[in-house]
Amino acid sequence: MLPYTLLGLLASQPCHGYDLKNAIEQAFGGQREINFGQIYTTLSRLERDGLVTAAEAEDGRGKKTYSITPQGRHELEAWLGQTVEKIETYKDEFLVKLIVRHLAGYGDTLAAITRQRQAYLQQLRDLTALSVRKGDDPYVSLLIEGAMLHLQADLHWLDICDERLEHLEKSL
Amino acid sequence: MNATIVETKNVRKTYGLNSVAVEAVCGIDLTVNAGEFVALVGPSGSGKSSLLYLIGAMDSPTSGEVLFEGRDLAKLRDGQRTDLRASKIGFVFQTFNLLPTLNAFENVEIAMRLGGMGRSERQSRTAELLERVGLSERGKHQPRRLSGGERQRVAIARALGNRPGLLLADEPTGNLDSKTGTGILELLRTICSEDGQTVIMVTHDFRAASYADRVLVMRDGRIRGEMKLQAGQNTTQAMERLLELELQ
Repeated sequence: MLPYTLLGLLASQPCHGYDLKNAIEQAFGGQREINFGQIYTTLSRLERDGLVTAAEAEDGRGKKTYSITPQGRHELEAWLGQTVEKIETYKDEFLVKLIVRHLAGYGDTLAAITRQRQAYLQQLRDLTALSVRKGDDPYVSLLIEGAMLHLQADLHWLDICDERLEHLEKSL
Repeated sequence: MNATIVETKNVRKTYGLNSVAVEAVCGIDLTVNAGEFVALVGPSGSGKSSLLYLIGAMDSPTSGEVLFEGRDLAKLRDGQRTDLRASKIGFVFQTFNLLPTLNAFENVEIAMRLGGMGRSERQSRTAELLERVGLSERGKHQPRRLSGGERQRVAIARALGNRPGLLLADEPTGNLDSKTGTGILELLRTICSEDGQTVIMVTHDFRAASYADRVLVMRDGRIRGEMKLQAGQNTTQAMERLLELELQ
């Protein structure tokens, strides 16, 4: 979603790549060092597709100012207007691991579930600490709250895995 | 290594008789050390509350042993068991259980009176506890004039009155909205981390459980998994992970 985030920032005003990096970091909680390379790769792809233009500064240092094109704005608005497909979030790597574990004939499903529970609970604990620190930023606290609710759902789902697979193993 | 405060040995609890008997707790071995915050988490009917009541001497096991500070609860006389519950174990319930005709201060104080503490010590301890739970200004309020979260804070202050070795909490956030519940969990976390209070909490909510040092997942009267958690200090890493996912 980085391309749309960049388009969104450029929709408010033209920007240097470096300022875009700072603005994203701030918008999403001001914690993460975003990879510069990733931003420039994305920007040049947007430029190639005609969604942004780049103007080189006259000071000769080659710093580029990026602006959104009408086509870019159109693309951004279309994306904002679209409802979100949830399919991507249903993908669960742990379920794939359970299936592969079964296919490969490894047992010890309960131990695997317990380890996964521990990992999710620890993440929940970390997010709790984070939400205390970031509670004053409304969008960041929404991001954290959402992640916590997903983790809670994942933990309940692990309970169901545990219960169903136990019965399955007993019936084999 | 801290001393063991509670230990259960193959403890079982069966309700009902013969053909209709339901085994709520099916042979649990559990050791809780002083200063630990332990969460028993599981769906309703998993036996977590039954286990809590056995540990708190509010119910007796069908078989097996529950040791509190090394003493077998089954070997205590009724009077000794009542003393233990009054002075060594504090309880916090989902429904707060405050006395409606007493104000917050009196609700906290009365437990100490029952525990045999003298008047002046009671009064200063009550004031200190109300401050600890963030309710110094609310002492004169009756429970009906307090919010749910405030009532639970009074209940926690009351439970701590006699400096119990063990605080038991049964779904302490069950009747509270998420934000208020978070405040209560942070309070429990603080009294454990800062005051060394041992806490055993029953909950169906994993988010509540994540505040504990150790989480025991219960199902069908058994412990299905045990996990140790680290204090949530690595917030930078947590934030990085989050952003990485959002921006992918």
